Amino acid sequence: MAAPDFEHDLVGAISHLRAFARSFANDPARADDLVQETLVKAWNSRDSFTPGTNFRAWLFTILRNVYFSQHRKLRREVDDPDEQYQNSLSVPPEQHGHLDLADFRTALGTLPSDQREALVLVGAEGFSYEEAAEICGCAVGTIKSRVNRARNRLVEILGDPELKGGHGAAHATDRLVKDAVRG
Amino acid sequence: MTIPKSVQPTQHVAGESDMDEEPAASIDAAIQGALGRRLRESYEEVVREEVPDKFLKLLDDLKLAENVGGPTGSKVGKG
Repeated sequence: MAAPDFEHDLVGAISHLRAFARSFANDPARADDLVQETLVKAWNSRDSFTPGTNFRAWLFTILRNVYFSQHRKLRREVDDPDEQYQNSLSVPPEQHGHLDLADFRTALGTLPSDQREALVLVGAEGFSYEEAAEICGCAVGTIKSRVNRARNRLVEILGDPELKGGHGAAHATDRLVKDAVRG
Repeated sequence: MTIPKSVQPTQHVAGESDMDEEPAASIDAAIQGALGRRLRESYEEVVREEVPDKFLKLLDDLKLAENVGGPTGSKVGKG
């Protein structure tokens, strides 16, 4: 790809890289650090991008690699900040009448990271299962099962008396169903 | 000393007994639809944030570094 096109596409993808990075690191500053390192790596290895293939998928793969190589180092050296983040979110959100975005994010944060990643790639970024599998370096079936488990877990956390016979979650479900009906 | 992939244990898949009842399909679909919208909303909120200048500056720096170190010569050295 010619350098100006590459640069143009790279700039255009930054906002998506930032959003994807937040699914790994909840701290926005840490997420942005990930993006910066991804940009450097992408720029330096731009010759390895095959024109005509999915540019965003290529970038996401790089970001993932950056994250996991940092993560391994972190785990060896100090307490893992992302693990602390997970632990701080291990309590499900309180139900208070409606499901706002903050509740949703909290629930999303309690998912195992591989499930959250699969759900974000497929459900939010709109990648196909095949593309998501390529980004994560795993089988298509694995992605499908992660997405399914993530969805089921979210319904469980956010509450659904019809499915779970739980209590106190009726409003959240009402809201979800109303939203769904409104389209 | 790497273990061939074929030897690695396969992942345990939850048995059907873990899920006794199939939820009503329509309610399930409605909830999944609403969840999907929440997910996209939450993600799009970050996508729509203005991209901080530091990223564009970084790309400029990368380009600049390449030009300076490029084969077309530079002003490095005595003039």
